[in-house]
Amino acid sequence: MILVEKDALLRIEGLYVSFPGADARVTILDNVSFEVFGKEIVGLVGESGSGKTMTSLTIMGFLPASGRIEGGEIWFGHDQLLDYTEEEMSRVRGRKIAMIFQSTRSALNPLMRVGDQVARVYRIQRGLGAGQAKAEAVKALSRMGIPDAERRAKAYPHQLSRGMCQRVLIAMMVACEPDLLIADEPTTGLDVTIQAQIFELIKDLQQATKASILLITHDLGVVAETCERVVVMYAGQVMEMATVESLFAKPLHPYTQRLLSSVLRVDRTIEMPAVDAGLSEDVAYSVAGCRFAPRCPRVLPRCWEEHPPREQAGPDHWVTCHNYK
Amino acid sequence: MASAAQRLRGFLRLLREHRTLAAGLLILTVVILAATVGPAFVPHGPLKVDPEIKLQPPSLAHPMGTDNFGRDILVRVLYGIRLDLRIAFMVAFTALIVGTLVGTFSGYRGGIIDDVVMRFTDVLQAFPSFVLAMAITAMLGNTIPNVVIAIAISYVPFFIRLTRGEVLSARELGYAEAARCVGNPEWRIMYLHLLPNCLTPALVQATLCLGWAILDASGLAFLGLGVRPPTPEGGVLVGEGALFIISGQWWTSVFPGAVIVLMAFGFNLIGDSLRDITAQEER
Repeated sequence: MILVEKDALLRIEGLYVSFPGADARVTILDNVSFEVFGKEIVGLVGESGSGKTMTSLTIMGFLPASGRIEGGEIWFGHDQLLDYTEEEMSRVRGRKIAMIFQSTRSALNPLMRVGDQVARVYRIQRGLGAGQAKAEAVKALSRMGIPDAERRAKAYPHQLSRGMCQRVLIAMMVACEPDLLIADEPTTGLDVTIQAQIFELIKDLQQATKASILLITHDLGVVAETCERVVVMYAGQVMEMATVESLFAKPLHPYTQRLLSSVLRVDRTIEMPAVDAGLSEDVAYSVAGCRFAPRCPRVLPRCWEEHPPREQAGPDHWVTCHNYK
Repeated sequence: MASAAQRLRGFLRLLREHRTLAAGLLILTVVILAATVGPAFVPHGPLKVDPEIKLQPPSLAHPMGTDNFGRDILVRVLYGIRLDLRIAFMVAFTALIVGTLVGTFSGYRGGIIDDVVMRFTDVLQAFPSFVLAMAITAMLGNTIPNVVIAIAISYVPFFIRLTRGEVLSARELGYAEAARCVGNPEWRIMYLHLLPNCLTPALVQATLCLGWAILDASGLAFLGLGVRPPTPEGGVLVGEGALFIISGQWWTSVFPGAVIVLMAFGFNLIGDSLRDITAQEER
């Protein structure tokens, strides 16, 4: 199976985004390309500052005012989202692409009853009347595993726990019936049991609604359990993209290898990789070629100058490295 | 849900904890009560002239004395409170509505619109608000609606800035983006999601403005730029009486003046304590 021949739901091609830095603009997304196909869960992993969230904000058209798209294309089906006006984007948002945010409680309006917030979505997206929308909202909340949804729908966000708020938010986004749901670290600040429940919920929803999900996370365990494919990012560049099985069995990029070896496991003694002293993010961002070069154990001279091409290393396995063999 | 009894108990506890709030509310309750039912107990009209009893010192029949036309000052003061309160509420309401609407729009949109609005408020704020109000009434002509408009314009910048600042920080919070994400149109995000959440400082400011508006309206009238005699209004009364202070008839100005001060003081006490209360909640 060759990926590129299939029709992608979301295709990002050579995306460049820059932000003003201390003295020059910093390219925060550097030639980012990946695809999300229909009905699949794709994990987007990387450490803080690797550009995961920035990628999702760019897809949604939520790039902060200081950010600038320097090049590239974002195809959603046959539409080029970067050409869309704000008004056209507002029709794509919700109906086609919805997003679950990192900060759970603040993503709900503190002055509105949660049931009304969900009902509002049914009114906007499906054109339902007030009464019908309210009934649908209660149903949606109970589908999210909220017990006693009828009563909880009348509560304000501050009266609910964080886990409950996240369920309400997911109910809001699912109510749109989007083709693509972007979940940006949907479980930050939740405790582990609730995290597991939320991921189960997301998986069930994906089964039920046939939507694709782009799951942004730094938790490799979650990726292994939830996703079908993974995109690994570092310092604004895509390092590797593969199916979960292939990536965990045979990571090719030196960065992915180190990332996987950083996961603590009981059956393995800890070998802390030597901390790369004196290497800040700034160094990585100033490299013209592969941004992992300053920390790479297998770095070649050309890695500093030349951005490696995306190479197919196996079925459904792509790597961006000069020296992965 | 809190029952009515619980709410009342909560309110009483609030009053106990914030004595200044209680004092302000007490002052204004007395003043408003006097202005609404007071005139019914006074057997004189506010405009009734009686040359026989002109410039009488306070007595049982005329507790605040009479002026140079023999009009009862107490009843004129009571009617004056009515007018001043009406002007103050209209000013605060107008400035609050206009300021919060514009402030929300400016803060949400940002960019050039925001710059233009901000520079406009800079220009308005470059003038002392009273001088600005003077200029506007002088330009528009001194009728009561014009006095309201003039004072309201001079207060609008405060509301724009306060709301804009709140919107700027609330915009990044998530619920605005989440609302955008599910396809809410922009006006709905601004005025149904952001504005209600950014209203608290503007409401506190509105309470403070009630006090200032009374002072400004009286000030304008005193200078002959606002409400005109013989309409009973605080500033008009002080102005009329000012001529006679030198000749020893102190009651003509002192009583109306004291009532103006009392009203402004009451609103300021309430506004200040509301500010403390809301600031505490934010912590």
